[in-house]
Amino acid sequence: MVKLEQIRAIVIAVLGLGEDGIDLDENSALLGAIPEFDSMAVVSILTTIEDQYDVFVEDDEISAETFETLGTLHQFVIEKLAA
Amino acid sequence: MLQPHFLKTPQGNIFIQSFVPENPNGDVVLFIPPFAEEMNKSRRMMALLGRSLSTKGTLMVIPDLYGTGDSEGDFSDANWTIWQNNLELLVQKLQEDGVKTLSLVGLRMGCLLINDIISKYQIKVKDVIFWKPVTSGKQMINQFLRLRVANSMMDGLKETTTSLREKLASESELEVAGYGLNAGLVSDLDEQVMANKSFDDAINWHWFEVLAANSQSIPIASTKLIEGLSGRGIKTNLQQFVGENFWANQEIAEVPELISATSRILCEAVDGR
Repeated sequence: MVKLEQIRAIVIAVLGLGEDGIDLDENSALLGAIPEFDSMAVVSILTTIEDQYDVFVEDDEISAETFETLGTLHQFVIEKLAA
Repeated sequence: MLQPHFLKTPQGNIFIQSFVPENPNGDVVLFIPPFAEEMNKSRRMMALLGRSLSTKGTLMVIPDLYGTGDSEGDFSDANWTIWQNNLELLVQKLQEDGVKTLSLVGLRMGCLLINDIISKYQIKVKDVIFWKPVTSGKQMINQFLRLRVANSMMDGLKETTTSLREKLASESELEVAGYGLNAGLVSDLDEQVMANKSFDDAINWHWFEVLAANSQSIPIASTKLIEGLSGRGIKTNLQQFVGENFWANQEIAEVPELISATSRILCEAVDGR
């Protein structure tokens, strides 16, 4: 099972948050809350998830809600891998 | 010393950066850049490698492919064949100037061009180093189209890569993240599959993956491909580096270990083998 830490590590790395990202928990807001979280970041996070977990994400599977918090993104990956 | 100059090609002048060593040893490295915005994000890393190599006597050259960077032409007029020709002319020019050994380094999409030019133009090459290679051009294009999908998502619209591909087919050009993407280039890239390319077993192949964190593993697609190559009798030196995705991240980032490992291979090869 994918752990929250693994998704956090991806977000920290893609956004270049470094130590500032350590405090991110499942309720931390991403899209709209973190200035670095732009469309490029969305794409990089999806690409990293696809690379890492050998899945293919269809556009209609994702929406702004997927990236609302670290928890919603984590949940998305869990459901994606279970599918 | 950095020497910027232009190379004449039938389509127009292309911009070349040469990192010229004070005491050249005759070894030359051609660096093939990645696609679209990834090239701009990677300028720092490319320059760091160029400087590192030139201090050891090796010349490194980086072209801005036709229609990209400071080269002439519009991105919307570029295609795979023109890019292959750019590289062929550049290799010819390097050979005229004198080359003891030629090695190639590719970043992301640049890796997909390497095998093509080696087999198409029968170029003699010592080492090839892939930096985080793109293994499927089609997947890369879909990921690029997603930039626009992600933007539309934030604006509450619902574009998809499928709807964008349909739009591209009917309008033959599509703007994505400020780049005029043409249908010809997209169909060229859709056909690029690393697993189908020819790998010369006389060349030393190095495959460098960059992982965002220690907890991550090498992409399964890459592992499979390397196994496939091994089955074809092609040995690849696979190495992994933990560091930021410098070609994609918003902030310009460096992965120093990638530079030092690359530099070590390219400069050792001279006396090592």
